[in-house]
Parts: sequence; structure tokens; C-alpha cells
Amino acid sequence: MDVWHVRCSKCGYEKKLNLGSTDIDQTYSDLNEDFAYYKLFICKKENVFVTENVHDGHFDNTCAADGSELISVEEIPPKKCPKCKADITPKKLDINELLSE
Amino acid sequence: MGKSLAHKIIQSHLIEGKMEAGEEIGIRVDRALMQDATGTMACLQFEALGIPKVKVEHAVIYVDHNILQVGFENPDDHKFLETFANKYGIYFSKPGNGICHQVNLERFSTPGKILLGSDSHTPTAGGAGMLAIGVGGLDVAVAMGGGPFYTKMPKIVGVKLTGKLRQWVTAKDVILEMLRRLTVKGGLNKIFEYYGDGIKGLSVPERGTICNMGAELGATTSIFPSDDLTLDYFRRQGREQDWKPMGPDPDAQYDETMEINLSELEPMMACPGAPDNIKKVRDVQGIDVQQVLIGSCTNSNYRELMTVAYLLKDRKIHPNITMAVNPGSKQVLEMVSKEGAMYNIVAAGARLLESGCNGCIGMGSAPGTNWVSVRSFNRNWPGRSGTKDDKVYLTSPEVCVACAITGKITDPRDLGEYPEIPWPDRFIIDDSAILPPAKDPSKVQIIRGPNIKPLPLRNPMEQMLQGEVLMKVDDNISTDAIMPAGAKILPLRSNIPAISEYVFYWLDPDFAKRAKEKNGGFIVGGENYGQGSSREHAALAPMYLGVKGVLAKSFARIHRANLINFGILPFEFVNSTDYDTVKQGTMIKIDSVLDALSNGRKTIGAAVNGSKIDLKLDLTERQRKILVAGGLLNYTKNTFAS
Repeated sequence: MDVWHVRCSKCGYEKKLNLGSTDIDQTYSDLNEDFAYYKLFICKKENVFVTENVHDGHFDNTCAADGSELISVEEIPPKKCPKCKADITPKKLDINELLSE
Repeated sequence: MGKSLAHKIIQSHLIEGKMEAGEEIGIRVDRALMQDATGTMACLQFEALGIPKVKVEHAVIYVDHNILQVGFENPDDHKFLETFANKYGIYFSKPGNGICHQVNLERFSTPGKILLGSDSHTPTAGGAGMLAIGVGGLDVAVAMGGGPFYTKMPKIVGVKLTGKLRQWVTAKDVILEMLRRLTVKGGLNKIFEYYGDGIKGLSVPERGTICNMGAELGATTSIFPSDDLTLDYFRRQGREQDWKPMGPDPDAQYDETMEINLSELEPMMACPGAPDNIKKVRDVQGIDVQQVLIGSCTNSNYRELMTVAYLLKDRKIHPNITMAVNPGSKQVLEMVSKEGAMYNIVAAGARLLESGCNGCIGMGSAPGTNWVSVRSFNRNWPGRSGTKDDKVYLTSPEVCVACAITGKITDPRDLGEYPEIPWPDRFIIDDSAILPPAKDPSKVQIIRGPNIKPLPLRNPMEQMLQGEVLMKVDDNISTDAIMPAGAKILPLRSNIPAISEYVFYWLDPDFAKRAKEKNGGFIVGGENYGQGSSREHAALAPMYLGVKGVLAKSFARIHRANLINFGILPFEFVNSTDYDTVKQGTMIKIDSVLDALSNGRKTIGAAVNGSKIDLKLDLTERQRKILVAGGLLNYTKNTFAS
């Protein structure tokens, strides 16, 4: 799993996004529900990034916050701020480096 | 109205609730299964109940997952599990004895019993007429403590099998066909019960393969009747006494039905990405393959390995291929070795791995960059193999061998005549690697490595909850964000004080320190709080840090259940705009909590910065009792331990 830190210098929008699959050595319970896969979307209504576990049996391509349609973001890391469309350069957080601090 | 087999078994174990699809039911559990990856926590949870001996009629811990001993953690876990099993009346299957589901099918499966296992592929035992359900370790611990298993009554789907599998088409293709039709979400809250003339051509291990991957459908479980073929298998295992005939009534009614004509199936594969990405082998043949793995709890029985050996006789695997085989159990390995078949496998150039989960859980055998890996396994979620961006195909052992010989994805029908391998008259029966519990538990000392700490429990619920908002997060916060995984954290899973240091770590590395300094408090979340992985540590570790409640706009359902199980109140804002009125550091005071829980109140008021906000208490009667007790373990201890 990768964690990206998004910060838009123009409008101030900021978010940390966890994307991809949970780490393989994460077998906390070894149930199927352990194997999450987080994909990036933009909520059409609020214009914010949304990460959703697409393996969730109840995920139906809609935003949990407002029920609106989610637009899939295929390019990772994303290049545009969902709010103001300005160029952004997300920073990848190295989890292991962070943990060793 | 005739009843299905699943209906009959549930009915005979029903303790609470109505058997109507979607209604919560409580069922008595006969048996328990644990494996080492999840077993340590399940055992610590059972230990916290303070009960001297398990209350199920039979329980087994198998060491099959973490069998690579590259540090002290895994062997420490194994020794803990061995001594724990010895003391508390549990059988212990040593490392090397085999994969839990294969060994369970061989030695312990029993028609009509309910088995709860802390592993998602526990339903494999449905191949022998057992109602076997994969759950989290906490549910197994509670069952071992005498508590019922609570679940929503699933819909029972009758799957009528007609016809007969053609040569080179296997039980794996039956379940791949199910996945093709229904997808990985198609089995949610369902039990698949197989019946019809087609089942007469499927042996118990083949039925086990089909039930095994019912887990990939998301099903509660899958089951076959216990018939003459079941008796035949039990006889070969020297366990005729454990058999009894069980099946649906001739006029059984199912909530839903579907039909598969076995005669029409072809060899199939789940292509990379997900187990429901199904294609006919013919339609993807010709793709270069770099790795072939045969084994796992899905496909590693005696006849499968004998078939592999037969097909490899006097052949060499393709020079570009690396191939490995892991037999499902010591019994399988002994049988195949004794009959000389293992020679063919090794002589062909395959690598032999020990009996265990191995590459199926990413424990070795990770494919190289851009490799195509063809496996007789059950999951191909991206990264599951241990390699990011992997390309894993799931298929039958027969297709695996065909690929290993040609170096490309190959339809096994191109190999010529299918070898009809018979089952042995008698399997080798040697249970010496299954250690029985001690006759005198008082003399057993549990050996605990430095990384295994007793489980902390919450005190019973207080009448007043008060504290600061320790953290405010936005929508869709995942359990991976709450309790991260990774190489540094996972080894701490049996050490809650240590692992709790990493709660919310990549969102705010100071969270744990702050929570301890403030003597606990509250978390505020947006919509869908706790989505993602089902890990219970995402509730257990915050509980240890003193988190009393989570106030959110909405919760992901599994995490919400986990919060309740560990005594953390999941409050939903009545008015979601109240989310905006609280921030990190805000003091929250909620009075009369016990009264509200006990009286069944649907809402409760919280004092926030001198004003009042309303919070929903949308809880079942049982959930209220669990929260009052301070969590499921306390509740079980109070209710069932005596």
C-alpha cells in the first residue's frame, strides 16, 4: 500500500491518500475482508479525493458522503487538485521510513 | 416444505433468533479450528476469559502459515501455541503436518457438525458435510468459551450439479465457473449447498476444493451432502465411525437456485487481478509463463499430486519455468513419496516445498518482476503473491502442469489422454504430529516469548464518558490508516501495548502519546469510518489507548462491529453538521451512558463546548449488553463462562 500526501499550494486542499492493496504480510485475521484494495476517485459533487476499498461487498461506485457518482482517477499520483484543478505534486510517504523515526 | 441440509444443521444448533434470511441468529458451535497467523490472538482472547478448558467438543491449532522461521517471532508463537493448546484442551498440529483445511478434512471433518475457524477457507470441510465457517479470531475465542456464534441468517442457495466432468476438467473449474457467474461479491450472506446427480462424480477432496473457494465468492460457507462417497472417503481414512448420512429433503426448498451442467465445463483460469476474472484456458493460451506453483488448501490432495507426478513422468519442465510443489499434508507427502511419484516431480525439475501455505500467503515463492505465475491456489488479489504488480493466474493442477511443460499457458487437453488416478484403498494414518492436550493441565506452563503479551481488557462501561477529541479525521478513513500493517508492525500483533504505539501513525505520529497523556478520549470521523480491511486490531489498539467512543457521520459495518466487540461506543451524529462543531482538543461529556444502553434509547446527548449535540445509539439488544459489559470478551465471561 502506498500513502500519498496531497497539498495544493493554490487552494490549500490537503489530504493523505492510502492507495493500492494492503500489505501482503498484513494477515491480521486472514479473512477475505482483510484484502482491501483502495482506489482513488473524485466525488463529483464535492470535488474532493475519495479513496474506496473496491473489494468491499457494499461498494457501488458512489460516494459514501453524499451518494453521488465517483469518477475513477487512473493516473497515480494524481496531477491535478480536485478542487481548483491546479497542478499538484503529491509526495509519497515512505511508511517504513516514517516508522523508523 | 422440505429442508435443505444447511437449514437442518443450523436448526439443530439454533440458540437464538429466527431462521429468516437477514435476521440475526445465534448458533452453538461444536468445533474450533485455528492457524498460527491468527491463532495467537485468538488464544490470548480465550485466555482473557479466564476459563480453564475450551468448551467446544474439539479444537485444533495448526501451524501452517508462518512456517518460515527467519527470526524468533514465529518459533516463539509456535511454542506458545503448543503449550497453550496443551493446557487448555486443544489439539496441536505441528509445523510440517500440513495445511489446516487439508488436515481437518482428512482427520477431523464430521458431517452435521458446526466448525468455526479463524481462517477464511475453513468452509473446505463442507466437502464432508460439515457446516464450516471462517471468522475472526475473536469469534473463535468466544465459541471456545462457550458462547454462541452470531451471524445474519444467510440465504441458502441450492446449486444443482448435473452431468459429469469431462477429462481434464476438474472441481477447480466448477468453482471458477461459480466465480465467473457470480463474481467475488456474489456470495455475500449466502450458503451454497450443492446437490443433484452431478455430485455423485465428485469425491470428498474435490467437493472440498469447491467449498474452499466459496470463500472467494464471499459466501458464509458452502456444503455438500454426506453420502456414500463421503463414507468411502472416511473408510479410506479409517474413520467410518465419524460418518453419518446427511442431506437435504427430496423436496428441499432453497432461497435461490442455480444449475451447472458439469458436462459443459472447460478448463478455466482466473486471470490476474481477482479470482472472478475468469477465462477459458483456450482463450488465453500462448502467454509466456515464468512460474508454476502447485499446492495450497484448494488443490494439494493425494490424487492431484499423483496426477501431477504422472503427467511429469519422463518429462522435464520448460527451461524458462521455475516450478514448486507443496503437498497439502504430511499424509499426502508420505503417500506420494511411498508410491514413488515424488521422484517424477523432482526428476522433472520441480522444487519441493514443505506441507504448508507457503507461496499462497506470500510466504516465499514470490514471482519476479513482470513474471506470469500460474498457480493452483485460491487468491490473486494484487500483491498477495508478495510481488507488487504481480500477474497471477489461478487454475487447476492439470493446467499448471501443462504450462510447466510448455512454458506457456496451455490447455491441458493438448497433453493427450487423461490419467485416471484411483484413490488409495487406505491412506497412511499417522497422527503423531498432532499432539493431544495434557491429561493434567495444571502441570503445563505456557511458554511466552517476549513478543507475546496478555490481552488487555476494557473495564465495564462507565455511566459517564468524558474526554478530549484526540483526533479528527475526514471521510473514508480506512482501518489501514487506523492500524497500519507492514513489516515493522505486523510482528507486534500479539503485543497490544507495543502495536498500539502505531495507531494512526501515518496520519499523526503523536496520536498514541497524546491518547496516553490525556488518559484516553474520543475520535471524530466523517462518513464510512473504518472502511477496508477487517482487522480487529483497528479497534483493539485504540481501546488499549483509552478511546471511549468514536463519533462519526457513518461507519463501515465490519469496523463498527469490531468497535462494539472491544467496548468502544460507535456514535453517529444525528445531525451530520455537528461534525463541524468539534475539533481536536474539544472536550466531550456524555452522561447516563449506562442508562441509555440499558433502556434501549436510540439517541443520547453529548455536551460539546457548552452546547448539546445528539448522537445515535443504533444498537441491537445484544450489542447493548456487550457494550455495558465492556466488550465481547467481558460479556462472554459474564454470561457463558460459568
